[in-house]
Amino acid sequence: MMEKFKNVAKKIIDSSKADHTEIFLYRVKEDNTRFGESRITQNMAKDITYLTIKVHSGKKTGAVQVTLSEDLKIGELLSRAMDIAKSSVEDPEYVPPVEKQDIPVISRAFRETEELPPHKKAEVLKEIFEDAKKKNLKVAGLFTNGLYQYGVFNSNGLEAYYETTMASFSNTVQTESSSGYARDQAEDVRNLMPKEIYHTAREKALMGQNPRDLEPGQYDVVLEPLAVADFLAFMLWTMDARGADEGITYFSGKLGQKIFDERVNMYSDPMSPLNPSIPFDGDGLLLRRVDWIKHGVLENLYYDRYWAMKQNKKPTGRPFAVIFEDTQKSVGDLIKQVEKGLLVTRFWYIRFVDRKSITITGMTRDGLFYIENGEIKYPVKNFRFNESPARVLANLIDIGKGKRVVGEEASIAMYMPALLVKDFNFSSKTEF
Amino acid sequence: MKELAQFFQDVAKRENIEYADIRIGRYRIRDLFFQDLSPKAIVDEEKFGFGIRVLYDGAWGFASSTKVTKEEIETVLKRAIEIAKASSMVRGDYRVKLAPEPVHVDRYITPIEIDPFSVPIEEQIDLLYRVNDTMLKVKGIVKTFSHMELRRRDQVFASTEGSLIETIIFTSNAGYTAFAVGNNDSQSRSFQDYPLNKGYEHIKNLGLLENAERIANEAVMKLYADEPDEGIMDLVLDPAHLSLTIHESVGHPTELDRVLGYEANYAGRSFATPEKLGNFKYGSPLVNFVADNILPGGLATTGYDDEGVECQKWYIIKEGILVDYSSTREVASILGFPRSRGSARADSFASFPINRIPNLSLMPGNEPVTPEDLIAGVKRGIYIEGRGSFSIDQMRLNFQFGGDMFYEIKDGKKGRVLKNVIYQSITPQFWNSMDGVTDERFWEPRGFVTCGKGEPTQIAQMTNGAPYARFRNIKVGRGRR
Repeated sequence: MMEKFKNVAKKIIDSSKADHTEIFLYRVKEDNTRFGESRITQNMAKDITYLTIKVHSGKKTGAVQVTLSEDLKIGELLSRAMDIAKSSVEDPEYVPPVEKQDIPVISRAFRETEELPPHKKAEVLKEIFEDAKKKNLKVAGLFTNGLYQYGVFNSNGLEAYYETTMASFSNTVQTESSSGYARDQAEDVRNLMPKEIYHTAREKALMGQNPRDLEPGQYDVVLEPLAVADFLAFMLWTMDARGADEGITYFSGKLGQKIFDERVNMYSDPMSPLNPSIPFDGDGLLLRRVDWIKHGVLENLYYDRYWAMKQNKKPTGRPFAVIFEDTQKSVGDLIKQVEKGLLVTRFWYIRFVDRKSITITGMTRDGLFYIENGEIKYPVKNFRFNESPARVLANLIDIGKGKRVVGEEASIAMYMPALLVKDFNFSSKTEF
Repeated sequence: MKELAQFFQDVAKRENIEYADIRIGRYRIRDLFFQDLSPKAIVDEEKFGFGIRVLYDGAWGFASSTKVTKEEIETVLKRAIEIAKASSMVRGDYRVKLAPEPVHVDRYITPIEIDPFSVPIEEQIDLLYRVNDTMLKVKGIVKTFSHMELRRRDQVFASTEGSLIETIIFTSNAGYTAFAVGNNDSQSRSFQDYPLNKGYEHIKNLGLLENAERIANEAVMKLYADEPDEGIMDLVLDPAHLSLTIHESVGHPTELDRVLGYEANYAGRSFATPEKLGNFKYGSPLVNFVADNILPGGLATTGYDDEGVECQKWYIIKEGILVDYSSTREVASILGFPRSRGSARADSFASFPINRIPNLSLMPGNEPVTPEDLIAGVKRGIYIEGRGSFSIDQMRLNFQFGGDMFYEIKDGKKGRVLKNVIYQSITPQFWNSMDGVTDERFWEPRGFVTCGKGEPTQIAQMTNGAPYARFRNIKVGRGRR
């Protein structure tokens, strides 16, 4: 596909009369098997390639995006993009396209994942549904296999290409009074274990039956890696240098300061085996390892190319796939340290309440348990939290073993440990 | 497109399947986005393709393609059948049945005065530039965003039952936000939530430029505002704000697929279960919710839904009682309803249509009541304008909302500006606490073009209209830790 993308891009760039031309190609070939009430409710296949052409005339830019087809009308698209550029205003923040770089061509694609036939997925689900039926449980979820290809090319000679496959399985198992959730993903479907994922969710659901009422308040909490990923995603989104420099975000004036517990280390590195990811950003800029938080110190903020140029810094690229350094302690080891507290499986519907303090809100979901004297005692009804990741990372009790997870909010893979946190703020309760 | 749809009907009828439909769609979107005076995105998009849905042995299969030819239609149809056969392997005792719907051969076009794509793009770019320029001239404003999104969707739907429906839907939307910094704080204020299925005349009538300085000034006012007292107090909410509470606490819980467990893994379920139909006191007697997919300008006003069901108007909550749901042909059939409520919509030709919130509105009252009348009845409370933070649990009970602009109400009068206000409630408690509503003069159709649901997530649009309304004894807090 690299060659096909390159040929499409070359034809367009060669035909373009613009000062600069950029081509972005993204193909998603994906089969999604969705299930609810222990049956398949939607079973879908798609294969779409999106082509974006961006042209620059002086400091003016215009862009068109289309679905790639065989009768691609290159001349027409270029002239539409150029008309838009000419109609636009000069961009005071204009930065020319990325220069040619040595971007490694990486494929993390597995044929077995791309070509997983629908009946194979149905066979796995059949066993799961039968087990659920025997135990009077209901299962809902999503079983996806897909191939994803990205290409960025420009008239400066930039060629950036990446491809990966991904198989993922998520499920929610329900009893009359509770639910349990688990998900996992793998580039190679042979490393994905749907039945084990189902068993994890099933155990949570069975443990969670007949939850008790508990009053909201501040509790020590053990957050499982999935909960940590969604919770911290909101902070990571605000770690741009521009927002900080302009005084809008929590990180204003904090660069170089120790703001978190000294055990907090967070970095991104596309080449890390812990959490490999696309090695270039949306502009085609090569992404290298960047330490964002080191021993609790804010080491770096995200600089895009314009803000880096303006502030005389090097652009970092946006951290796509963060790694939070972990320990070897299991969730059970963290639970053992809790005198009175809660175990959180997952958060839901997290939203910003206040960006300046990174206060966010959300609900617990699919498994909340009361811990006493180092043991899980009983399930409890769900809570709403109003809390800041900044406060949480400054109030850590301990860090557990990490896991590569994809949260519901973050939607990109992050390597996150379980965390034991002091005085996590739950502000209200709900009825289930 | 119509000829290809008829070709599909011919070939699909030859297959050994229960039902099939096709949607061939061409979507044009013009997206304009400014950050300060920098045009960050000026993009013209055009996407073209088709999706085929097949019912075989009581189970669904769906496949799509961007190669719009007769040969590809035959190939994709066979792929959808293969997928449906896989689904049928695990359907157990359940068989998908479709609620009946008359065969429709029709054409529907959004009534517009000005085609948004006929307006020179220079004019649209200039408008957004001037909006941001105006806001940036206000002292204290450090950052501004403005956007405009213009859409045209051409779609042909055809089914093996014989329906053949052409639709052309226009949507116009624009808005902006100013960020102020000072007094050791950062605050924002937005001109928000005005999408409608209308032509460019809607953008011209919005008063974008006329309101820019006011919006920026209000952002600065919030920097120096006090935080609210915490406690139990009354709220008066404006239509823009209410559209979001309606969306989250009434629209989503009354989607029948969610009620029946189809969204249990992601978007969640609902407390509004079928045994409550006709007897559950969802709100006070003043609370009337009407779903209206024939509402002029409504974002779900599309003539027909994405499984060929004609758009309708119906009560979901009548005088406080839950009386109906939104539904698709499949889920309507599960509860034995005679007809789908026409709420199956997909975000593209490549997506399977799912149960979506219709144009759902809180109806105005019959008595002549103004917003000032509502405020006059509050001893201690807060008046909230616009949308801010929002979150609700997966059964749609415990929610927390913020807002975009807040004023204290003291002894019946609107007073000082407040900031960082949040309130929490449980859905039926909240709607049962509503004791005042303005009349139709103050009813506004506010909408969403970013409603996410389903896996993989699809984005849909709908209008949630409202008058001003008053709520008693709500838990108010401060939204900053």
